[in-house]
Amino acid sequence: MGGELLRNIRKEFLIEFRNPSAVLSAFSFSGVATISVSLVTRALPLQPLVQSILLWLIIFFTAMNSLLHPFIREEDHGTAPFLRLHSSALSVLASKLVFNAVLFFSLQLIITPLAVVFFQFTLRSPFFFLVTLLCGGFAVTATVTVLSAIVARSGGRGPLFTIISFPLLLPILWMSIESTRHSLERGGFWDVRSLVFLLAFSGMIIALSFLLIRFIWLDE
Amino acid sequence: MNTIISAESVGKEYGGRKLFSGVTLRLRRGDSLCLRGPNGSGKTTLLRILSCQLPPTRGLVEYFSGDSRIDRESVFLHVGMAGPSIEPYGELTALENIDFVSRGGIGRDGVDRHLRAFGLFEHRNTALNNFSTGMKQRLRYILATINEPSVIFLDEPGANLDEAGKRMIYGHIESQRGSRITVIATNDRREERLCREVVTLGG
Amino acid sequence: MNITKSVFIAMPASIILTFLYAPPAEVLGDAGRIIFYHVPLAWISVLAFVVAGFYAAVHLFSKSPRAADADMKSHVSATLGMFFAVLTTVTGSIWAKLSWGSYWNWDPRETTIMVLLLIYIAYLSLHGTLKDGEKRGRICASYLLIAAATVPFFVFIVPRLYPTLHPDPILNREASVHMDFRMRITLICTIASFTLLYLYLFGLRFRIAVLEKVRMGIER
Repeated sequence: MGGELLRNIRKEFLIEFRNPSAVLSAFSFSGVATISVSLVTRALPLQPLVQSILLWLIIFFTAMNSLLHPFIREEDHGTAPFLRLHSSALSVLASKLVFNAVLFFSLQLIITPLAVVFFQFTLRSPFFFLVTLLCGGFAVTATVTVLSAIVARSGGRGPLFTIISFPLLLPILWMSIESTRHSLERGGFWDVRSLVFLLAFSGMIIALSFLLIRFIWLDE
Repeated sequence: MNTIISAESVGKEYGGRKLFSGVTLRLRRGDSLCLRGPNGSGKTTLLRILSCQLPPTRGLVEYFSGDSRIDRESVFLHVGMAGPSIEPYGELTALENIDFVSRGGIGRDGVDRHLRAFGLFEHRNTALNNFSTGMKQRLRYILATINEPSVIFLDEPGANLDEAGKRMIYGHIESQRGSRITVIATNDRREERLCREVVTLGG
Repeated sequence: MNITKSVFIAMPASIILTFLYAPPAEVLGDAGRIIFYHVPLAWISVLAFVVAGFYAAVHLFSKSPRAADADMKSHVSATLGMFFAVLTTVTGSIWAKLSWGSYWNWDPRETTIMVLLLIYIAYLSLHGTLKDGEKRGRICASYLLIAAATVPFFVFIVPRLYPTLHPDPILNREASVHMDFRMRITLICTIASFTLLYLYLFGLRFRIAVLEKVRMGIER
């Protein structure tokens, strides 16, 4: 199982780096989206709540544009039967989850500094701000990865992905927006409850994904 | 290891249309079976059902190792399969595809030996997107056998191959036949003669 | 005789109760009678979601031959739930207009029903994308279970973010004191007969689904 998982993770990264167009367009999207939104809002002094909402909307749409690819690639290139033959459903999900997490944190590395600069964030509690981004980003990745498997297997595309993801991502977005606002408004304030909420949500989704992935991934 | 496949009155329906029914088989080490039948008679589907990738609508397929039943989820560890629907990764090279599939049983030397035997050693670092159809077909066969599975399923193994390629693969199938279960789905007479038993579908 | 046929007596009886037996509400007058439709509809939308989730779990995890139709039942219940959720939203916003002066206020329960509606829309879009077959049942059931698992998080988070305007929960012990006895009786009767209506429609839709499947098989 361990060796199989490592082989799967290695394969994910190798394939995406051999043909980096998807990853590159994800990076371009995140950068362009952040800059465009800040251009549209002009130099208006935005309230912390509005700033957090804009930041998390950009993060949401970046997820919608970048995290569908690993699963849908297997269907598009017709490699899903090959993968199914040589790996268990669990290691397939785990490897795509790892890849998506790494990709998404890298995307956040683009979005966050741009947003801080262009939206003129005043970080009263920078550490809490970063921890919120990590926890919220992880919860988004966990939820979206299993949903991307569903979309890929159903032959759907981006629009379906957004439709089925949005209601389930709402609690994460609400919570992350609230915590981000706290970190912008109050210094040194620790809203531990919302972090626990985000982590509990991720844990629940991941457990459920591993329970359900064989129904989604395998042929019947 | 002595793997046994047992299929009990297996049938498959798609959307209310019956593809085949009542297939009962018992295969053990050294057995070789050819599935024959016109296009659309369900050869590939039966192959996928026998390899536990697809559950049958009716009946039961079970794998045994000696006396103990093999869990459905781990059947894939005992099975090798090659066919036109099984597409390896085009972005990866031949060697990387083998590394992805290989569980390390035969070592680096064994991999090289396989690549040489099928004339792919010079192309081992070429991405599959640059392979010809015949080269890909040969690699598919290598990927199916690299872990020395106790059961091998082949869907038209000679398709798209030149005479030399066919000879390589048929020779390898024949040399390994005694030590494993071989199931071939084909309408090719020469491939049929590689098997001791023949089942005709849709007839 | 099928017990759900008693809906033909229960529904007219309840309608008569709501208009003739129950007194007009204190502030709203006769317009307040919409409560006898709004509350049962809301209850049915939630009940239908629970039933759909239950059958989704049965479809995935039960091996008994009685579970063979579970995916169809799950879908039937979700379709009905969508229909009732739309009616709940409409009756709710009429009521909101009458008592608070605007059709939509984003109060917690309005938000919750909106999320439920979004989940129903997502589920039905997914169902529409997939072709008929075993795969559709399993993928839709998996999605419904993931969606159902997020519901407790909504219950936790929504009241924190949206201040409430709604009257106290009707079945709350305190609130029942505020309610006229005849109104309470009427409400209980309408909830019961709407539940019957749901069960009756569920049986009807399920029979239609079975017959359609049979017809498809014959035509092929």
